[in-house]
Amino acid sequence: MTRKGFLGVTGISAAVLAARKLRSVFAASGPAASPPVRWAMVIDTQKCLKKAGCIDCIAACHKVHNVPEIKDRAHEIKWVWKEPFKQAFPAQETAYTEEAYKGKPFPVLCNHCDNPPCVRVCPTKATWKREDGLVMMDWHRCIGCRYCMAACPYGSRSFNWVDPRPHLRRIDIEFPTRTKGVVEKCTFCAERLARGQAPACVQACKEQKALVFGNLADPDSDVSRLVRSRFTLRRKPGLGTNPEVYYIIG
Amino acid sequence: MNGATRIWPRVTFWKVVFLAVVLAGSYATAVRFLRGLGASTALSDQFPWGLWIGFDVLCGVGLAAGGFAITATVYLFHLERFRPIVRPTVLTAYLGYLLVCTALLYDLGRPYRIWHAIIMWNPHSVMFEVAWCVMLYSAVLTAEFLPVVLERIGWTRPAELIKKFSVPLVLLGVILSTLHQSSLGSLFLIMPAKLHPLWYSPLLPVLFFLSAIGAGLGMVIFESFLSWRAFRKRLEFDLLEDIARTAAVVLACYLVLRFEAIAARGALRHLIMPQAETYYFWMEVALGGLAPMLLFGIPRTRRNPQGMFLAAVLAVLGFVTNRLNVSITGLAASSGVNYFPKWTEITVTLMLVAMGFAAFALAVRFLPIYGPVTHASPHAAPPERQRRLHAEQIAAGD
Repeated sequence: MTRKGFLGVTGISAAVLAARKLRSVFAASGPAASPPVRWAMVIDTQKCLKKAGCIDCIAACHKVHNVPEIKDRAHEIKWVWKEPFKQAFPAQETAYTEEAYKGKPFPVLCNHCDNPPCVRVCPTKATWKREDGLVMMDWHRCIGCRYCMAACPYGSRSFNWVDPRPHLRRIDIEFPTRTKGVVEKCTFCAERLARGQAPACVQACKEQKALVFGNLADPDSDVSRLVRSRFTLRRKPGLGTNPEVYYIIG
Repeated sequence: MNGATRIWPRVTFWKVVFLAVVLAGSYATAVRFLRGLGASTALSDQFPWGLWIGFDVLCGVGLAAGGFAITATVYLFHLERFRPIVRPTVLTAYLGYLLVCTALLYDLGRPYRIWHAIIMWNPHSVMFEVAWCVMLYSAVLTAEFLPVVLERIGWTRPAELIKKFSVPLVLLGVILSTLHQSSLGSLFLIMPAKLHPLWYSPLLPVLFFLSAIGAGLGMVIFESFLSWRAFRKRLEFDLLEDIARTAAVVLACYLVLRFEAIAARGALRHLIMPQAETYYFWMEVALGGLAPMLLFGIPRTRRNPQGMFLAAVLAVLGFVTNRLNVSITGLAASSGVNYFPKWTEITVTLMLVAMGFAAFALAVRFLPIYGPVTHASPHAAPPERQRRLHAEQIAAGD
């Protein structure tokens, strides 16, 4: 091939690529998309703490998602669980926090971060972020490398170290069970949202109303009003993950 | 095959050890694949990566770095003097990568889905890069090693054909190794809040790359000495001396960067803090970094076989300590749990290493690793005498 010929072919190829790119840009500015959705949760810890020892949200979640009950702490699976203040909000405590919140556990779950490290590190896209902010998982795609667990700063991910099925007391046929060797976590109840229902934990907390769930992109939603009117904390904000679970502390 | 003695080798101490290790490792393998990671490891959600990642994968890849360094020296920089050590070095690298591939199958939760990374791409993931580098560099090493096997079985034509592609293969090897060695360090960049400040640094990829070259060169020296002891091969002492000198420079650069990285993050105070991490740090950096650098760097110790061997062992051990520190020691405090590998993890690792040694010995015996094919002659000089001769040569500075 001559130099001239080579340059010609390169030029034509570049022009074709550019034209295709342009077309996709114009296509994107077509008919308006549906209104934006950004699912988020606000947890009013004062309301939550009022009912000491309550684990309704955990029980409801673990029941509908076939989360096994494994006694061994090293192998347990948890979608929603409780942590003391210091573990939940490190570096956000004062000298008196310990005394104020002694023995008072805070409910924690996957934060469905805006900038989720687990999504970035997964080699097979077995975990990914949806347009509406949900951080999802495909248990058939997961190869069990556990990099997402190493990357998640919140400990929100559990690995099936043992076969979970013998540890299920009752199987809900509406939701898949998992096999040993894959990672799992809270999905913000994507399957219930699709049916127009609130997440199972929120549903279980109907009386206390400590858990509020909604669309943060809608300025009139309950979550939007709460985060705009109350002072809230997020877990480990310094890491730049932008959690979408907000905590009202005082 | 001349007689039963060739088929049933003499029983020796190391053969008994090897058999015991393989038996224990096979049992552990059965536990791993029948009962899963929960039954076979001390890992937990708080501590998801352990010995198999820290040693088998991180060290297996790192110790293979001599492979690309020496092939580049000969094929790209045309320092032909080093050609005699190309084949044993490529063999070491190849075995290192086979160790890594095998260890990955043990460590993955769903090992038979390992191919997912080939079609389900996430180019943002460092693990994706690691997966591709393992695959591609294993393929390159296979192509680099294949001529040795082909020569042995007399297929000279295909062997010559592959050799025609030596330079592109070596180039690919350099590119993929550079990516792979550094990406293993990049794996830990996502954990600034978890990894101890003595090890966390944005320079991790560079540090991993440099330390792998240092340790890879140490491994070349280590393996040459072992081959000399075990197979009575000629010791290319003058070559090793040059490699030792290079290793000293590489280790020096690495150490400067290492302390620079700690200073840049304002973590120098950790160097004298009375904490477990500090002790592990100094064990790694003083014994496995500074000491081999000095031993390699001072001409008197470098010219002394014992001094050089000691330095090589220290460099390799220091490298292994570094990888274990990054992947285990440095993550212990933030995890809130105490991880110590279970017997199954340890025996599987020992078995894989033992198989590496055995494969090396078999390859040396049956393949033209050191020079062209020579069928072992029963009339050669008695081994003890030969060994003494070489020792005298070395002592005379030959």
